[in-house]
Amino acid sequence: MQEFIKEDKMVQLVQANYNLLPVIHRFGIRLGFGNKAVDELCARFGVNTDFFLAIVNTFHNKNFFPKDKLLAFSPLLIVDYLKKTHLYYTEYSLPRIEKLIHRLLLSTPEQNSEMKMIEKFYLAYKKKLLKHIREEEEEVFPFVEKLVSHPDEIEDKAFDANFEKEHEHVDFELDDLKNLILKYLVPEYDDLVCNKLIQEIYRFEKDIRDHSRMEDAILIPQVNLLLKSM
Amino acid sequence: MGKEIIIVHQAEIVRKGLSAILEDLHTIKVSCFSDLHDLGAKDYSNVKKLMLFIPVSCRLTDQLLGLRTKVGDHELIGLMGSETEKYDSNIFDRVLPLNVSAERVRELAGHFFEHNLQDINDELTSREKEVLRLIAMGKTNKAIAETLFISAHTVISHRKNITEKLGIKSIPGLTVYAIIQRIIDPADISHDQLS
Repeated sequence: MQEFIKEDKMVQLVQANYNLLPVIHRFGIRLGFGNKAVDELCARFGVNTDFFLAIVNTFHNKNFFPKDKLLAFSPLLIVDYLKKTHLYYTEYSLPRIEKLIHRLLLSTPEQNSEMKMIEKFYLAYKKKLLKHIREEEEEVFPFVEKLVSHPDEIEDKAFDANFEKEHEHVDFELDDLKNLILKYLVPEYDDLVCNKLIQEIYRFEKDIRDHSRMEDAILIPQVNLLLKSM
Repeated sequence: MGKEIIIVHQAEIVRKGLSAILEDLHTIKVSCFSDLHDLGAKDYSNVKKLMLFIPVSCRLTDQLLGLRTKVGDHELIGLMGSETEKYDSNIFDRVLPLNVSAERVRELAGHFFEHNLQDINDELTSREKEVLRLIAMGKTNKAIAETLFISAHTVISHRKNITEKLGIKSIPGLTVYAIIQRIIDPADISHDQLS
């Protein structure tokens, strides 16, 4: 699979994979690319080109994960990117999926109240995910920032940062949501809403997997390394 | 497999007539008995679904009642010779007069056993459904084992099979499946799972 380089035109990235657009937006880079190259636009928007390319390529190709390269970036860059993806989930993906599930269920027969459980399941999932995001935002990320900027202020070095289990859990439930809809939805429903919902869930699933991998394989090892060197 | 029809009636023409009508349902074994007592020696361990025709006037024997508990999915049909016959309507799933049309009998049997086809495709065994129901109630493996008188190891193996068959891994996901499939009433689930 192709790996994007800094000389590529930014527009080619989106042409090759339109799912990259939200990722590009996360970096604050706006459309109106013209024929400008990746490095030129990164410079204009104040984005670290190497980091941008590492993230974009990782997202684009699930087999591409330059661990050493990623580990070499400042944890602050990683945290900043992770925060932006969180924002994308909380502001866009999660409410959008919620709305589509609601609309989908409204299009199923009224007497099939069992279907409403799918919505309930999603809301419970969302609640758990938001709690997890909040924990990261309020505890993990500030800790990492402090560790990098003011390591002398760190008092409690016992940092329990094993989120892998929690990520796995969240991953399972999203998969269950897909299966519940794909395998057990009643046949009377609005296809257009359903198409959109399924698309959105798959897109979100891919995004959050990438996000979790970044935390588990990059951020947490970085933190542990920093703690060890103290 | 495991689908059977049993016809019990003292009149040979009724037995032969019914079994001829039901012959079209190829995969279903039909056996006839003139007396309810003759049913006793039969082994029903492989029967998954049973349709039983007996005269409404039959005195229900222990054998028959035992049979009903042995075969979870069954339909007991009372055959009524005349409208003046008295019977206990709580016992029979359905009562048919002997002048019922052949088409109606075929339709009933077809419907009943077609359900059976769904049961085979329906991914879970009745034991797995029981385990699933207890999972949805929020019970631990240990509690499930105690309730069903099986080992915790067996519970785990049931859970593994359930997840494999359904492709659903999380407890909230399994709970929703159980509700959708009406294996459990929403009122009985453990609510902290879906809140």
